[in-house]
Amino acid sequence: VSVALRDLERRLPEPDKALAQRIMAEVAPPARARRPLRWAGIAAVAALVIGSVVVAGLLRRASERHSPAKAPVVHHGLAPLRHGDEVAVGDTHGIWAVDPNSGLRRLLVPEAEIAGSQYLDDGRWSPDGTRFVFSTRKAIYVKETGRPARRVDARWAHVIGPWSPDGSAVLIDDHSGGAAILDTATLKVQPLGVSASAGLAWVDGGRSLLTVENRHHEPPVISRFDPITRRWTIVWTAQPPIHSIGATAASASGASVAIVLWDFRQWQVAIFDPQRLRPVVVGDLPLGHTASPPPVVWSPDGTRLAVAGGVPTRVWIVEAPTRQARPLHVHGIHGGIELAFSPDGTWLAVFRPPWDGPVAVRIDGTDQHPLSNLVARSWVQSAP
Amino acid sequence: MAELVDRYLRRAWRAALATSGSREIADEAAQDAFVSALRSLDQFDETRDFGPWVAKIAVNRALDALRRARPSADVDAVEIADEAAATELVAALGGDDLAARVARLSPGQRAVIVLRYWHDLRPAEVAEALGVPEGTVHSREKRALDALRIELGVAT
Repeated sequence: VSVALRDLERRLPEPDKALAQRIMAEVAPPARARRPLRWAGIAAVAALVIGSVVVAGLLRRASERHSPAKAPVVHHGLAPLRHGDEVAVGDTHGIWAVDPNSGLRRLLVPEAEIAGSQYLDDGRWSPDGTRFVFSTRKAIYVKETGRPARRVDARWAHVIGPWSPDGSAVLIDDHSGGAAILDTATLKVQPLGVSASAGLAWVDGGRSLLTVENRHHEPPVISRFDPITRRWTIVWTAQPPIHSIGATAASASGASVAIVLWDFRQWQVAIFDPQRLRPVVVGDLPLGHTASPPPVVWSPDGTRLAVAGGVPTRVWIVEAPTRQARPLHVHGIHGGIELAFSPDGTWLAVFRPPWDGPVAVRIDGTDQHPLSNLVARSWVQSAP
Repeated sequence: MAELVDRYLRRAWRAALATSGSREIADEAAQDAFVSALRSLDQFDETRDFGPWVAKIAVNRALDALRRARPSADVDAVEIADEAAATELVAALGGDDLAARVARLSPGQRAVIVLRYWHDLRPAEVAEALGVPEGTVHSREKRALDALRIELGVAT
């Protein structure tokens, strides 16, 4: 067995050659020349050369901003952003807003504004499209139209919830699970004093927050937070056999919240009823006991859910008012997948990892076809 | 420093890949491990091997990333690895039955296997690296090996 195991290591692929360069760039950035120049002539020539390079660079970048460009290089770990019909992607120049249909792109955030970070994640546009937030491994950035990106130092922090309905704040958490509200105008971070281990959602039209929390040796709870009084009220405590909550998804209006429950036997999807203050389980979906919780997404109008799970993986559409589920046949899916409704709610993008491209499926089951990854990603970002 | 990266990156990255099943996580974990290790080289005991040291950090970073991706669950206790990650890992390992069985181990079990059999760490060192009791290392290793022996048709 040990021989077979050692042999396995040798069969693994090689890391990307650029990885070593990124490590060295982070550990030992190129040293700047420190020796003063002695001759004015050399200094003048150097200034001329540097000036020419800078001007050429500026001209090139200006040209890139307004011309059809090659498909941008998408790094691992990038979460594209959507603004209207655009999806934002990153490459070594920074973040670009790309029209997924034509490929036209414009430079949104120059690389210099994000300190060369290559792991962009969690991007979200504000409802009015004037600013967006995204995280890297070391900071959260807020980019506003016409202003340089501003930075909040927060190692491993993530943007975990949608914008507040008034478009002023987003929800973030740090690596330890502490949740906070980030005011994107002032960059003030307001810690909530709780863990957001299983999700946060704006409810009551943005007047309060719902937090879904798994706790050590105690049942998970759902609490409501009033940002004005800063008071937490537990509104629901899970009862056995429910052990934990795997995921939370709120509809765009914040009127409906879906949660994924784990009872040691299988995953279940439930819709949290804000009036009765308890979750109501959806149908009897065979979601199984996969390691990752099944993905759950709301349609843009908040009337239906898409759920995927089980082995082999299947997809269901759930009508929220009746909680009736119907299967949606999708070709060639297996393993953990990602779902997103189209902006008009009539199609569902189904991502088929690791190599198959996404597919668009009409939610009435009458049609399906391959979908460009950029379009599919734009649907992800337009999801509630 | 560049020599250390050239010499040890591949194995540390593979350790993170085998633990997480994700190239994306492996990239991030290996980069973070090397940056941390190289920045604290002055604290490194030069009588020991650099490779296992940085591999331990990379494996831990990979487990951290998995926990971050699924904060509700104890990643060390997961019995069935994430399906997408498992599919990617099976393919990376060669796609045979043994690769499939290794991919189906929990990330915690794979971390133990990687550090024990690829980097030749003693159970006490693995326990220290993963922050778990030594008994846990033994139990994870035993369960993993039992599963693999069945796959290989070797009597236990």
